[in-house]
Amino acid sequence: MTFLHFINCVGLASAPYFLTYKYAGLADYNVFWKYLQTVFLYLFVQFSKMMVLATFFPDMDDSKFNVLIEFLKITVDFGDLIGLYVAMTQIAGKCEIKYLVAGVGWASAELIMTKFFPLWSGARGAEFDWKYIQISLDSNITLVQYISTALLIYLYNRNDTTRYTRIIIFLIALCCYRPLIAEILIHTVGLGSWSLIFCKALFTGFIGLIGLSLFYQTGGSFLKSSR
Amino acid sequence: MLGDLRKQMFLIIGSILVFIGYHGRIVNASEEFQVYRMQQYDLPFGTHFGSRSNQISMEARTINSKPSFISRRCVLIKLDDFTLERYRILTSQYAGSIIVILPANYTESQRQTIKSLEAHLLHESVKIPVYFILESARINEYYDYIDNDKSSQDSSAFQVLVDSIISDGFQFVINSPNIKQLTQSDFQAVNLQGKLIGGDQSDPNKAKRIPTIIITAHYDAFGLATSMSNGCDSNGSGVVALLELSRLLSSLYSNSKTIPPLNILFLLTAEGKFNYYGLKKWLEEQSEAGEAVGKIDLDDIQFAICLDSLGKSTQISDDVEDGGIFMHVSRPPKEGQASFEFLKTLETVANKANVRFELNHKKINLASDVLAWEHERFSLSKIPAMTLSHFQSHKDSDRNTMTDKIDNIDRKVLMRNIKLIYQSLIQYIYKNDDVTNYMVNSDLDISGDFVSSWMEKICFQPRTASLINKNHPLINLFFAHFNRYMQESLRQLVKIQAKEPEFVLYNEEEATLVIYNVKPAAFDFFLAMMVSSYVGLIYLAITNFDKLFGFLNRKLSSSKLKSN
Repeated sequence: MTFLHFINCVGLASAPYFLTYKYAGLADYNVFWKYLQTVFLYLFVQFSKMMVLATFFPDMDDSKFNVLIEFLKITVDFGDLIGLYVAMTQIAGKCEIKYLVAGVGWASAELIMTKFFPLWSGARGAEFDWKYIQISLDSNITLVQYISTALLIYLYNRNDTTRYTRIIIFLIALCCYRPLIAEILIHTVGLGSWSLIFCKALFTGFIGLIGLSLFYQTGGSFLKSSR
Repeated sequence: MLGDLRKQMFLIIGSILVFIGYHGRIVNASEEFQVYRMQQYDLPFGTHFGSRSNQISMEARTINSKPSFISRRCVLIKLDDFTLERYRILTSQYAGSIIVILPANYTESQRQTIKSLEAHLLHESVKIPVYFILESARINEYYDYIDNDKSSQDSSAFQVLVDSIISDGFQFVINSPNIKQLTQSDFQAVNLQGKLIGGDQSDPNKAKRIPTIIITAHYDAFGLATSMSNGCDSNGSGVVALLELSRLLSSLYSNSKTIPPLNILFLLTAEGKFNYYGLKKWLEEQSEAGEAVGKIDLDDIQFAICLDSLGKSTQISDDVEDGGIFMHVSRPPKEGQASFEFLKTLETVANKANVRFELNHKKINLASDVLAWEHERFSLSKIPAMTLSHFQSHKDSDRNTMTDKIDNIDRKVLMRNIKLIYQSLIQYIYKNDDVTNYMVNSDLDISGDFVSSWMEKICFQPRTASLINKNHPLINLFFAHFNRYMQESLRQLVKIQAKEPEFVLYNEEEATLVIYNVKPAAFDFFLAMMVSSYVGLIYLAITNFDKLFGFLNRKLSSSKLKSN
């Protein structure tokens, strides 16, 4: 709509990232270099995913919605999980730091790569569309999503969580197939853009909460930020 | 506790349903529509007509908005609300532009509205752009939304404040190139000419001396919106009649037993709606000295028949529903003249077929700049001529209207009229009832398929003068027909004087209307406030995450315990 609208959207999209980095305790641990490494790892993983997709699913322009093909395509997103795992193994330090850095790094790389360009090209135009506010809100959800995914992977790799392994694997799979579930919802229920955002937020919040309570019960504690 | 949870579930599901219901509104940021501009043209002595500009970039209002909200806005109006009075009010209140929503099919009263508008709007000029758009579900949605918009109506101060923050506005943008005057190089209209050569072909000297009759029709149309004027009756039907007559007569000319001692020249003329300019140029060319291709001697012409609107019947009074055919002349034919003979023949044939026939004599008004009928061009050159038409008066508003679509044509009447003219031509040529009866009852009869298919082809596209140049597909089709059925067919460029032209046409007949959804400036500040408070909440949540989560966790585990 105007430049101010663009600023609004970018602010809405990126402020939570900044706040998480700054106030969830990361800033105190000098992890910026690790954070950058995660971003580069993200780029590498996305590139590999694209290569795999281009090799095995060449007819991407097929507009018909096919659950099986979509399922196979999204299975490639397991690359993200592996990437997150590798990122966490690279980070030495307290357990909380590990998953936070990996999650925030992954999500912010995605924010820069996939959200900024549509905002730059669209939100400054003369016409108004709620789409750009929705994109920004969606990036906030993505942040929570990746942090909880990283948390779940971290929990999975711990030795003392074997009795929860099934739940954790189920939740990880849910995280991974989140886009597929959203697609199915769009096609069957006919969700509008706002209700889709709302459902995503509910879904992500649900997974995040369960992950956190598992973490809590296995004796994790939260970082005390110094502010 | 369990009941509480269930309540919460219902709340969540309820809010999801509310969200699902929300997306049915207009949410597209921009949308494009095809629009058609009102005709724009100039006549000599600096008289300008029609809509004089074409670009729009303004917020939209509907006709129901308060008058003070209309100035410098784009006013959306439905045809049913559009009257001449309303139009005058709009222009006097400085409306920025007008877009009229036209239905796909007109009712009788809508036809009358359009015709009454055409009678005035096309003969005066208006500075603002006036466009027409075809009715669609989407444009109606926009209309209803803008119409319900409170900010353009009386409301309380608080309502105005709220609306100034959250209301949806619609910016209408038409961003086409500047209007350009069409010159000779841009648009090259052509007259099409073809001959059926009679007489003894073996003796060329003899053939030269036999007389010629001309059958002509102009092929352009005229109406309120340039690109919506298909002109099916006026003068698509005349063109179809000419094509069918040439087809029928050509078979008589191809047989040496039936070849008559008479030449027939078929002529399709351009720019008939602009004072029969195409015919004027053709006549000028014929009388010029020197040899040119296809030139004929005007002295050889017995008479000329102009076909103008034969596609339906005019109701001339309460008693007479079918006006039949009128023969318009500028000077009544006298006995002994060839045209008199043809008049009598046509009268007899019409009487036999029980069709009303009337001779209408109207002197040429030399004081007026505008000629009434096409035959007056011939009469001015001292060639006996007549116009055959179902119209009683040249002032009939049906002659220049964009309501003249294919449903305006009565195919039966068109066929009947063509048949009458065909019969009387044969009767006139052979002067023998037996021959005529034989001809008419043989397989050389008028073909319904031929007439219908040509009618559809001609009606399919707008034919306003500025749209048809020498490479137009329709012209190519006409020319192919001329080549097939006639001899010496050719297309002649209609030249327009560069200085002081007799009429000036303009381009940009069609345009793309882009509708943008816009918000008031205050909305951005409002949104900025919302965003910053949201970010503030997130800040609080992150810094107090341990407390927040501890609280949630206690709640969750306690509810788990209870339910167990």
